[in-house]
Amino acid sequence: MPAAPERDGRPDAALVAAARAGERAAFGALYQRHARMVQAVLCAKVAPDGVADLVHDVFLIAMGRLDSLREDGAFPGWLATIARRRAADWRRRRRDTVPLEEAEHDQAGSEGESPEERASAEQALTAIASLPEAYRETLMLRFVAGLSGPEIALRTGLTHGSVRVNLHRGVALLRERLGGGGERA
Amino acid sequence: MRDDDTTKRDPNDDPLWTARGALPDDLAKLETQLANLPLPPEPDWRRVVREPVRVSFRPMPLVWAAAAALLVVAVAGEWLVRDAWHVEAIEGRVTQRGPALAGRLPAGGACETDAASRVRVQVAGLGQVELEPGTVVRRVAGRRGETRLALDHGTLHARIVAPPRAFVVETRVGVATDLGCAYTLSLDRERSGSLRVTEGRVAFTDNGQEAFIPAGVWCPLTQAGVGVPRREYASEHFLALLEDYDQPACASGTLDSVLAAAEPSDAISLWHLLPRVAGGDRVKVAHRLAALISPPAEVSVERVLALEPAALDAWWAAIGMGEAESWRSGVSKKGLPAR
Repeated sequence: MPAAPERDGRPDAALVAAARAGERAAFGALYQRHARMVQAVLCAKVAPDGVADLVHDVFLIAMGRLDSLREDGAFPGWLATIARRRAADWRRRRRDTVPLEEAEHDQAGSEGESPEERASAEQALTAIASLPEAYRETLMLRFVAGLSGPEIALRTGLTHGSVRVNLHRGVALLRERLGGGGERA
Repeated sequence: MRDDDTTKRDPNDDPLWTARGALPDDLAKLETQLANLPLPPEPDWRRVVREPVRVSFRPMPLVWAAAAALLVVAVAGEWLVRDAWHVEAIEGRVTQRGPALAGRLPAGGACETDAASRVRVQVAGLGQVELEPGTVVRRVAGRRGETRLALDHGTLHARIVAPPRAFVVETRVGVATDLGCAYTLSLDRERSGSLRVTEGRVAFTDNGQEAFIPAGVWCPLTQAGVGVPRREYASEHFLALLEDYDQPACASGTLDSVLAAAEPSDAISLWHLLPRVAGGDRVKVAHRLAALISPPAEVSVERVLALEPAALDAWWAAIGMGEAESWRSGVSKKGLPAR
């Protein structure tokens, strides 16, 4: 999907500093830039029906804790950590009610999509959710947030090698789950 | 669905890795679907209540800043000299390029041997590397706590006494991470070569595969990446059959013969085969590996077939190769450096 033009081209560190000083538009720019990444992290860890609310939660938590961020340029990784913790809280509360793989995919598909396209997106989300945990977040960051391998490594703390392995194996498994793929992974 | 482009071994040419360029059709479709997942409407941030901002400002006196700058310059100068690696010719002569000090290889410098020269490089505090004739290496920036050498082509023998993961050699095929060992790494200009470990162990990662190589084991390196690790003294029949599986795109018709020829000590090779094959082939490999080395009780076939990392790692440990995590991190769960 073509990304919306950025409303503020300043680097993360400058936006964080401005947001900390009270410039709400700067925080809005951070939201615009990183909401997809947060969504991807959450998609890897919680049922899709919980993702939308949690995206907001994560940014609200981040706004309240901006003063505790020591290195402004590290904002994306810090934000991803908040998302993972918030997802863990959410799952603890839902553990006895809705298993991740069985939850309805209310979030899959965008407005204007055909029912077939929506079903296809739901199938893809379900397939990724069924993969071992190590591959989920890497694939979500790649396909939901559109991040490159090095960007994923920065946000997850994994080495480049581990990210490559996760991408490679995750895609191979995903193809198997979606009914494609040959005999080679 | 196809798996063509995703297995390219040069990460810069791999759109799955770079997020640029054309993905295979199935992945492009997936990317379009998932990148269009709706985001919740953006809140009106002006109306969001936030704790008051605390701003602290501690100006640094100019004199302290100047003194600090002088100290940095002095320490950096001393470090540049002390940190440089010693280079000496065993035979012939040494050719150095880039930043160079007499007989030393500083960060950013390169060292080259001609067809009649052999060179020894003393890596400060870590060990030594010997370069065979026709070898080019560069000293490149490593990550924190890591010393890194780039082997452009040729052959090097490394004998490292440093803690695991402190010494890394990168190549155009992948990255060899020392875990406390001695090994020989060869690569020609066409990106064909081998990694042979004679003591300790080495982890090698390429664009999508990881290989754990203990002493007595070697693996081929090709343009396609790291091949399947195999014992130096595996049967010739097994070694010949296994060659088919070093290339990701090769036919799989010989798998039954490979598995039939495998001995218990070839479990290392079969474990590495698991993620390289899919579907029915993976089932066959898992069953043959289980017949040679029983998986731990908690490792079900289903978990292995799903390539669940914890299951694969547990089986690796059952083969007797130690914790898989220690091969990746260099540290065992007990906190001791793994050798």
